[in-house]
Amino acid sequence: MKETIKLGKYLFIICAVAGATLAATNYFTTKKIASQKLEAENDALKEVLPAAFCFEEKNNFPKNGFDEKNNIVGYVLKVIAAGYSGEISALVGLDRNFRVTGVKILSQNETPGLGSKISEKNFLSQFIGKFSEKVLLKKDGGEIDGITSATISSRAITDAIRKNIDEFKKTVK
Amino acid sequence: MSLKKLSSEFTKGLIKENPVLGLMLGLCSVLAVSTEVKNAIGMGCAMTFVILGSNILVSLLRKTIPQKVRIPVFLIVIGSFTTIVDLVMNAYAPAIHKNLGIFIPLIVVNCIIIARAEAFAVKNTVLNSIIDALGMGFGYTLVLFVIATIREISGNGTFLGVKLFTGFNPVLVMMLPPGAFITIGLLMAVLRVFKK
Repeated sequence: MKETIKLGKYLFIICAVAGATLAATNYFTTKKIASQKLEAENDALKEVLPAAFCFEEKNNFPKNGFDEKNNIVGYVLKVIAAGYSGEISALVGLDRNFRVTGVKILSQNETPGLGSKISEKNFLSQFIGKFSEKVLLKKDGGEIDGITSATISSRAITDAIRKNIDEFKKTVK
Repeated sequence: MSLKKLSSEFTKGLIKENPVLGLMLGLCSVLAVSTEVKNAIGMGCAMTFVILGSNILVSLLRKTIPQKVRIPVFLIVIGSFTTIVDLVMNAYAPAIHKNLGIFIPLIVVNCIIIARAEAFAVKNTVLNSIIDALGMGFGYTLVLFVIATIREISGNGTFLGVKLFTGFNPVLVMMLPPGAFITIGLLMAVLRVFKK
């Protein structure tokens, strides 16, 4: 019994010190992490819809993008696709004619070196300037070149983008 | 403590008791992050920091840690340092943090660190433990760097993201886990020749 208390006391002290240290680290980094995240989010929005000056301030998507005079210049959609291993989430920018202005992958767990290439510029830049009908892999009759050995990932994200644009069109019209 | 002993404490982590190629510890994270040199360096640094912190603390506490609860104590120490690395990396190197993903929190259960705490730091002085940690951390980083270099060049045709050749058809298998096993196997064979 006596020994149990002694061991408990020792563990308690260690845990208390560890807890305090982590609390301090957390205190000093939360702000930086939050601002980093916000900045990354804003950069991502700008990246997919470069024509916009600022964006609608709300937490959910789709967001409208405005120019300096507060006219709507386009929209940003959030697309979730079921990839080869887990979800792929992406931002898609559209102009007022629903033409793609940019795509950015926010997170993905695809095979490193294969499916993960969906977040590379070479692949994503193909979407720019296309209407939703053309957003389809070449294998499926569209104009997007899939990634070699990563057809599932390429098709997942391409199809999800097309479907989301089509659905979004209906809600706006 | 003689300088010679210290230097041998350091170099044993590089070759003779190299954590990856010699002791074959922590292979899981090695397989996962060695597809790109950039990630390998990031992971190596994170790992070195955690092993250094845990070795110092365990060695400082070595006379007070009760034998019966030493493993929970090691885990708390290692877990704390890992969380610190996780938070700091998230704040100051978000790009690398995003790439390494789950493998940063998983440093907690990386057997290299707990093995060094159990086998070395708990029996040795602080100075020796620091040298041991640096040797192990550096050895881990070095191997990770070599594996990642081989895999990134052969599997993707790039080094640190810079394209090296034109018209090169990458060997895709090198990017997948089997590529890591092949590379590790070959490196072990080479190391064995040198040891003899």
